[in-house]
Amino acid sequence: MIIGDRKPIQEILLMIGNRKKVLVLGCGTCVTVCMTGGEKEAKELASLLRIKGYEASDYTVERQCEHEFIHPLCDRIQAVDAVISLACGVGVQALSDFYSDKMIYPGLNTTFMGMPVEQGIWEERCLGCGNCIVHLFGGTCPVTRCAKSLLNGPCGGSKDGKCEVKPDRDCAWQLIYDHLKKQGRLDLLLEIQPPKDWSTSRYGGHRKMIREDMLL
Amino acid sequence: MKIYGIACDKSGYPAIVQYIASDHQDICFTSIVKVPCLGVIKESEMLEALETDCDILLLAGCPLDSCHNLQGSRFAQRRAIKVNRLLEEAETTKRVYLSFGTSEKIAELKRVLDLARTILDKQPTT
Repeated sequence: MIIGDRKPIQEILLMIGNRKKVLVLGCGTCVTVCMTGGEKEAKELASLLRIKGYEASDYTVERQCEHEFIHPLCDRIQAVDAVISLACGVGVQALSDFYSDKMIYPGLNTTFMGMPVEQGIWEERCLGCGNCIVHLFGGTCPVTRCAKSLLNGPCGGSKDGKCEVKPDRDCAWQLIYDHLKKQGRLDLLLEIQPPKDWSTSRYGGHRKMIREDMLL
Repeated sequence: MKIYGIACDKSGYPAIVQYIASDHQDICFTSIVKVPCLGVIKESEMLEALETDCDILLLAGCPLDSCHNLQGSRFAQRRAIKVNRLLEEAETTKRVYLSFGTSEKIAELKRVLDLARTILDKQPTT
């Protein structure tokens, strides 16, 4: 899922300035699960804004990143001076594209694609490089989870299974070794991986996918 | 001091009733909501209560280690801490105060309200 982190209240207040009629718009998908931008959080922020003297309302849609979910918001959005979107950056931009005459403010900082590892703790798992090869590494992505993104690891600096760069994190290459050992595929470690093809990543600008079979 | 009270019907509510009966004229409860357990109160509901014309929200419930519903008071405590952090971040003077005591003993309630009043008196008037 996409993990987000709510912006500090003071930053949000600074963004909306003197726009008094505000809609706090939650998103019912990823940011609901990571408990930063769902219905509950939208209600809390709207309530705080009302305590601060704003005329704030709240609403939550299933997904802010799809037009069919944000199209029905027309009346609500036209009735306010500004919208604080508690969705990830995708949702904020979808709203901004659709309601280009309105001020849409991001209420969250989109942080990474990850998963909860325990209650209240989320970790990054995928960089979205566009060329997944985790099967070669026992199901652990070294590009994302190794601080040095080594495809031919380990670096030799890990200690007690922990990363030398961030000692509170597991060494990705220790995990890769453990997984491959369980799978009886330690021979994969003897293969030298070629340099990664980054052409599928985002360094050439934003990416686009076209599915001919889905086009109308 | 204007107080919005939310109290559990086992301990908090009887304590508030006793406290009011013991003649504290400078205290004004704008509302007292009786709930089965403080554990049912969500953060958004605490904030909604604080939107009303009150200085503080008082949550009164069973002692932490002997809540009638086991974990209710602890849930309320965790949520109140979160709400107070949000209120602090938003730089408002309103706060949630917690009083966990048995229905017979109002000393804890008095201590919490005295503390709230002291803190409120120190706040600059807006």
